[in-house]
Amino acid sequence: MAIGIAKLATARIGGRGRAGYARPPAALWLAAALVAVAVLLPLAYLVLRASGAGTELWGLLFRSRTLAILGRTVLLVIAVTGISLAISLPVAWLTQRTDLPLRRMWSILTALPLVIPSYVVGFVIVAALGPRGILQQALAGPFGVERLPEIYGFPGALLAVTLVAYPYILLPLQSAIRGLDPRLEEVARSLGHGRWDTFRRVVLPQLRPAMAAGALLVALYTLRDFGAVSLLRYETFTWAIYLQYQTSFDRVLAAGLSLVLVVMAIAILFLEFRTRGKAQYHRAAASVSRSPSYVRLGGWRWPALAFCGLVVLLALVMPVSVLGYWLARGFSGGETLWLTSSYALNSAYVSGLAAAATGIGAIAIAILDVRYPSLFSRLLERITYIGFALPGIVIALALVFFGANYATLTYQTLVMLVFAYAVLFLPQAVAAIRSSLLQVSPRLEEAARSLGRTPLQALMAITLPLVRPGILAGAGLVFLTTMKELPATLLLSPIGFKTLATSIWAATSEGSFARAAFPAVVLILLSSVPMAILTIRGKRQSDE
Amino acid sequence: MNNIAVRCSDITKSFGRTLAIQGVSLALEEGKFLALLGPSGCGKTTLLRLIAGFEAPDRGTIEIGGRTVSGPGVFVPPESRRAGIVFQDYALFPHMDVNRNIAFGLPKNVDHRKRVQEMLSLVGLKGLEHRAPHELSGGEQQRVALARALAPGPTVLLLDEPFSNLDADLRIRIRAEVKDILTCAGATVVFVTHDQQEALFMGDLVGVMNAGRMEQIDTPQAIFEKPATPFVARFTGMADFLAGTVQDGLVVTEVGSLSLHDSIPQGERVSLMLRPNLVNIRPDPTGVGTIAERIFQGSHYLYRIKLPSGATVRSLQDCGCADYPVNTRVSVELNLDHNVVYFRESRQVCEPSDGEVTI
Repeated sequence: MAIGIAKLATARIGGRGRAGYARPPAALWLAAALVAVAVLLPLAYLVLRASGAGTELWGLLFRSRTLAILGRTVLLVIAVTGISLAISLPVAWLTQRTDLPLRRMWSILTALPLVIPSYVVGFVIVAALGPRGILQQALAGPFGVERLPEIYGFPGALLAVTLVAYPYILLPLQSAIRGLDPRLEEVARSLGHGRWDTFRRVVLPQLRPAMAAGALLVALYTLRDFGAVSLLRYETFTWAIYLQYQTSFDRVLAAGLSLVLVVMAIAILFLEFRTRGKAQYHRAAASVSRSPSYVRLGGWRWPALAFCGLVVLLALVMPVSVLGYWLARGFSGGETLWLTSSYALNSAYVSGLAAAATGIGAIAIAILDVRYPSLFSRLLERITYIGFALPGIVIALALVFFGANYATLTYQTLVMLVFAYAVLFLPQAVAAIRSSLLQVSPRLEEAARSLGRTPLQALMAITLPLVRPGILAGAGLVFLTTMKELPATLLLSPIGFKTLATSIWAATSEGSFARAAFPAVVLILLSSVPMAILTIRGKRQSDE
Repeated sequence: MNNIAVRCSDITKSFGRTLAIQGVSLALEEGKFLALLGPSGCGKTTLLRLIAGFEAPDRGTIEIGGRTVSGPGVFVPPESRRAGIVFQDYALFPHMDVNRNIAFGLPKNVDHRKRVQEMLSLVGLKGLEHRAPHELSGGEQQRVALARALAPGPTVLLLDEPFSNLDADLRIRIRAEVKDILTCAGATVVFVTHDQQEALFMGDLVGVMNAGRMEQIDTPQAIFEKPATPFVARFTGMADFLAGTVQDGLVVTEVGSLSLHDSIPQGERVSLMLRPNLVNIRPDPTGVGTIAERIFQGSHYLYRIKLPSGATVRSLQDCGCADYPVNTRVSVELNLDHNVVYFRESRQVCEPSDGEVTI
């Protein structure tokens, strides 16, 4: 395999590399290759582990229990994606192209659930709708209701995952609608098509790529989600893998299940890649003028308001008020805050380490890919995308096996945990650094070269200072995503090392909602920071 | 003074299946300006990048200051070539002020402050050393880029479309300034342009490139008056082509005969190059031509004359004395005297077209 790659690489050097001199500095090349190998390690180990079992594995995988897990996972993915589409299309249209009252506010409020981790929504749903939850207790007094319909299982998981995942469709749809060229609709109207006909035949086809890309993101999110499905006890792949690990420690089956999950994730990711290119093409073609005419809703404004209100009520008001309720009860019940602050410190500490490690790896990959394009650098960059496809639970499990067997020194240490984070979040950091690197003209580096600097010197004096904002953005993003990460943290944390995420999960699993509320609030506030920055930056750009 | 600063010998470069440069050779003396002229995609920028060392040639050698920098088994990286470059968008380092930009290429043992001041007074930007690049106008940015490239004293200075980022009226002023600065610095310059006026104005030598080949490399006068190929003729100014046949040492065309200095076999078909200022017309009811179009150009009229064969030639006439309406029959007279440029059709296929390059 390695020999094959090396051959491909040399074959390309004489070819159409952007520059004939383009031999990347050895240090860069080495660093990037090292990162890629590190990223491949967990997956390779899993494959090895599973294939070691041979035919036994096939027997395990085709048992009816495995098929049931597969069925449940697929059911959840389809249902979440479908409902997310059904929520997002009307909301996006209403907030972008109609005279809906307060549409700016609705547009922001409906996107906000993006910052809530799924296990916090899981916690909120259990606390609000579960047995002895807020709703049941509120109904128990006046009506004597003893039992609510069961929330655990499919309904709860569906509700929880949908409420946090739908913005992944909503946001690309909103921007696609903003990018539509209103003149196309005007032409359609002038050719004798009514409003509905125009929407169906002209608008919808243009939105399809964005919808497809968003839907695939939602599907991937659902497939990877561990927090919500585990708290609501719906046995999809992620939770089944965790149970395997927890109870029987059946490594072969756990590895097999993980591989099936990875294959599904890669398939979705592949489709997403393909549709994303098309979505961009469409937007680029239609970015001519923007003076959309707003549709007058008339009497329809009331149902429209009710619909947006319901979405915001479920996805935003309910979580916030349940958290507030338990926060207040926790305070009055004497919950201590210092425990939470020590969890927060742990979270910040390990997230900082992850951000630094991931940032450094991502710089090497991004520079190699942007400045020294070849089949080989492309391959390295693509390898880092494995982090997108590998659910946290899978990486964690692979590293648990690997650590216990081969890397006992790092097993149960922060080194292993930070490594897992780096594998998971490398793509985010690479993307951020890549996009800011693309804005730095290669002419700048060439100017430095012609003034007597070696490639490495030009990199240090010119490129790195200029992409610093991208590096900071990438590292910041990794920092905040790491704060929210649950499954890898759960499996790989050193004994006794608790973070905000694991403490919320543990407290909810035990039903002590008061203890989960404060860390959850802290986490949501922290997660809102990048969202706020992005919104402000986006607004500033559109103002200019 | 006759030292060769840059020499390219039989350079060939391809990107994948596209041949960007095919067998190009040139030699440039110290202190001279070479303009590489050609349409976009002709390979002129690639040639510049090959000299700078941002690309390596597939074949051929490049020498700078007598040292082979690209050749079989030799590749000197850009930082060791002593070739300064000014890019089209200037590529000033946005995170450094003017002072640090200019000092960037200076070796450690040079007094940076002194050299930067010298450069600033050379380009006339004294007092702006602490400005950031984005605080400068386009013309100022260009002069900083020039100063930065000249500061380390390069053997050759390479300019990539140096004036194309400037407004039309600003461009004429700035290119005169730049020419003064470079002459004053005694620099050897290779610059790339698609603007023939710029090339004729700036270059001691002009190299006209087309589809990766060097069509002709010569003085501006020779390029204009004795173009080597129909392409050069059309690209350096308005040119029409008139078919003719050689008979008894004369070229016979539909507007008359011209004598030739060279001996060309009897019966050979040639095409004559005609510049509009060398074509004279007079109203004449028995003339061979008809005015098909009249274009007012301020001080001149440009006439398009239709000939019996269907070919058209253009003629430039003073406004004051030659105001003829369309459809006037005219006689056509060629003032070619001793400057007859013709292309033998057996060697070169030329297609006079209406899509002339306009000035």
